[in-house]
Amino acid sequence: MKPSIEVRGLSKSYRIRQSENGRYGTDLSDDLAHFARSLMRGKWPESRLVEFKALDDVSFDIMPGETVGLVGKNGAGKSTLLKVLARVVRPTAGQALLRGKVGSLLEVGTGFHPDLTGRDNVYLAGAILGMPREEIRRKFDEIVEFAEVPSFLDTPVKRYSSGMYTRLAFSVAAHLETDILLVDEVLAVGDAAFQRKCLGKMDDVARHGRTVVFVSHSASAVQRLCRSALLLSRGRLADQDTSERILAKYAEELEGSGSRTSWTAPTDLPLDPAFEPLSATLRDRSGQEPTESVLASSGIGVEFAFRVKTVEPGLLIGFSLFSEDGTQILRSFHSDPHAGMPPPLPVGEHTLTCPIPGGLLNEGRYRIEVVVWVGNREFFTGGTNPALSFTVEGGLSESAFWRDRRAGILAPTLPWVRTSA
Amino acid sequence: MNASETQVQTRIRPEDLGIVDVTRELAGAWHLVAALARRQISVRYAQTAFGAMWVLIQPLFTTLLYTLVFGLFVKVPTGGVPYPLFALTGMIAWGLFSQSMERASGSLIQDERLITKVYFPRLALPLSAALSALVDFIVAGAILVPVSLIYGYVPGWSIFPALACLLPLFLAALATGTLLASLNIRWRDLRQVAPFFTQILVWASPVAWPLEVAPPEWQPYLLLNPLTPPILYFRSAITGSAPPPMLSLAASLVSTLALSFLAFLVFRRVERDFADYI
Repeated sequence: MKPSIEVRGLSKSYRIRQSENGRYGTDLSDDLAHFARSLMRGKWPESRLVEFKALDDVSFDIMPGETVGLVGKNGAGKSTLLKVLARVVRPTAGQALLRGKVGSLLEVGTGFHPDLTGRDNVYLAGAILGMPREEIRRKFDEIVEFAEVPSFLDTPVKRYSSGMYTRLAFSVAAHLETDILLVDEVLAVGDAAFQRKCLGKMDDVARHGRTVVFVSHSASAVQRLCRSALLLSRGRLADQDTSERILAKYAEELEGSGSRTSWTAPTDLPLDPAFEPLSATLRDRSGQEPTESVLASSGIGVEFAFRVKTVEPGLLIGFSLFSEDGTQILRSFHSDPHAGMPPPLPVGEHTLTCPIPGGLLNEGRYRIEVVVWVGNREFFTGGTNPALSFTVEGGLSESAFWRDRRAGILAPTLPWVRTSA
Repeated sequence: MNASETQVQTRIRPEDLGIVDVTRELAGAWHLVAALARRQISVRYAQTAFGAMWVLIQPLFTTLLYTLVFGLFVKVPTGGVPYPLFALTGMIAWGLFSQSMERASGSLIQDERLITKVYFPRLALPLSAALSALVDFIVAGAILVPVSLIYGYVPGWSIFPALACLLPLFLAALATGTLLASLNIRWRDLRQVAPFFTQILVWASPVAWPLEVAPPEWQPYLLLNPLTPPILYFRSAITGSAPPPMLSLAASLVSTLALSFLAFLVFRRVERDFADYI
């Protein structure tokens, strides 16, 4: 039997256009100004494209009927790989061969138009996903029944609740008759009951001998749906194996960055005209780098030092907090406490500190990734974000009854109030 | 495993597709083109009752204005054709060009979300946008019937070759629109170009004025504008005015085809990294 997906040496480089103010520019006037300025300085204009490899020489086979999970850290290239297979993004080198009809589901609601009715949107979205009109007509009732919206078919979808909208949109995509289905983390939407229904539907799809490639941050979804998985790391294929082994390896990789309490900018970091990161450090309550685990009650501080080289009104510094299995718990930006954008950071060296309060995190290992946006361009790309990690142990509660890890992701200490008659 | 031997294959490579493959793929996606065009039309007509009216008001009002300025004040000679009918025929043909062109030129930006989320032959977007303007043309064209009857003109069989002559006009609109749409993806500030472009072209084409009012030595050059011969031919079929020389129609077709090829090349170059730019 021939593989249904054959990938050979697939690479994708993005060329990020960079203008002098560090913004991603697509104005002709901006380009012409750059051209003219360079010539006036007596230089031939240099290319302003900064290249980075999102996918680097990836090869693998997937057999028909396999359901394969695609795992990896943020920026490891999972979504890029899926987009290349879905033909949304063209590879820079290498090739892939897909045998059979391909359907992709990178987003729920692709092609929905708010002004059209539910009925019209089913036909429109179906056509965009590649279903001929007759096929949609044949499955129309099934689609509507699955989505549970029969009485709203002639209402414009802009009046739908977001739940109804999501259900109808997913339902159209779920009824696509394809041999290969490419799915990005779209299941993260909708209520829990519908999510279960979607997972069930995908299970069905796989059981009918169709090939599914599934990108997810959620280890449990990958474990449940996929027998095998691919691990991507910095744009390269790190491993292909059963999903249990891959997930274990992925957890190791997340942990592998060690209990890293500090990060210093590597010397090979591409120079940017606007911004230069210097270091990132974790601080305990006394301002020291934590040497062992921290108490849940004491909290932890994230400190990030950097140099601003050009004043950039759109500069945003923040971090994401991940739990051990890769679930993103929160993302915070330095602009959050301000009503609008904070005043732009002046040229020079700065340190921003953000304390994560005590009485919030559960016991467990956590990872922090610093994110920086310059204009609307993400500064760290391809998994190069400064990553820090720490362990929370003990200090969960004042109560003598709860000393162990709580169920749930977080374990905040909430104030309880009793009123008695 | 015979079935899998005959099933479709998708080959993903860095190289551009050739013009034959692009055409074949686009032809295979005709139901998508139809669905997208249907979307444009229903959003335009279903949403506002005024939408359908607007299609009629625009050419009628412009005709009225032209009649006032050129028919009454300046008294442009139209070879015996009543000026309102003269201007209306020009406006209807022109409307086909300008509407198709403007919609096609906005099509890629309008659906940029779609482009980053799902694959389909990208040319389906400008093509369906331009096709949706055909409905406006038919609606607006319908008012030509009562207006020409009022002035005692009964269109004959010549209406069919006249409609055929509008085909290069539509192709020119599609090509120009696709070209602008592609450049628009690359440089966002070119968005303002399309309306400006139609503003200039409407006066560079014999919409409000007959070719004969131009100095004779200019006329051959004016005929080089690929829009001019189809507009003149359409008008002559309805009003019986002098048709343009056959040679100019052929030249118009050739330059339109050249323009289409150029538009295709630019589109394909930009298409290579559409999703990167958007």
